[in-house]
Amino acid sequence: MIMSPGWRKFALAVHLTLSIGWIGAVAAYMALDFAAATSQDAQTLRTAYLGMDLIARSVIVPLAFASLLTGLVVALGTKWGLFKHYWVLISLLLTIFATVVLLIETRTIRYFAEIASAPTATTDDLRALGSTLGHSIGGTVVLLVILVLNIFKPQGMTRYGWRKQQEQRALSRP
Amino acid sequence: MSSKLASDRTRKEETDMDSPPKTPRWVKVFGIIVLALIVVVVALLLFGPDTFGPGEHGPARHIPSSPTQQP
Repeated sequence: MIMSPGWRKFALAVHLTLSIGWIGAVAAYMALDFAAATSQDAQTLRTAYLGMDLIARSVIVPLAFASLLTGLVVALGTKWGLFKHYWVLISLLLTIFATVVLLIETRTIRYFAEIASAPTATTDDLRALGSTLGHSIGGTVVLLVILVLNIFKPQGMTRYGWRKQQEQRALSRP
Repeated sequence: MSSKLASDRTRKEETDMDSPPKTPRWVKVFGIIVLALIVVVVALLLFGPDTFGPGEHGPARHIPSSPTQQP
């Protein structure tokens, strides 16, 4: 079902806000992740791990799901469709991939936070935990690729999109 | 001249519409990059340093294999 122009703009605005918010939240998370990777100070490490857990669970995961959901609404409610154009299809696959990796990574972050919140954890225990910087950087790159695809909308119709277009043409012919 | 060019273009577009579209070059390049990245990640998981070694990637790598001794 194609949305009316007003609803389409509203849905697009919500989707853009949530998607760009996701990138912003990851940037804030990366600052703490970087501190966790480089700091030698127990207090800084403790604060970083607890902050990473809070941002990941309370902001990044909800934004990821909301972005995925609103993306589906925008794609299915406009002429673009979900499987008709390569840029939409690739954006969808990358978003699903990023969300799955994020959900797996939250287990690691949760574990870091549990160790960091234990009063018995020593500085060596905290230093030994490490960071999730590799995944943060990788995730940011994936999100930026999706952003570029959505802005430039490179041309290219899938075979499914072409078939649908042919069906539409056949129906519209007198 | 210009009308001939325009009619040529229209004819070409009509021909294009009658046959399934070819996969764009950017999709092919993107696919090759993704494939290369998958190969690199698999190679790192199999032969890389400790943090990428078999069973060393993922949340389990941070969890001690033996219980910590209590005083």
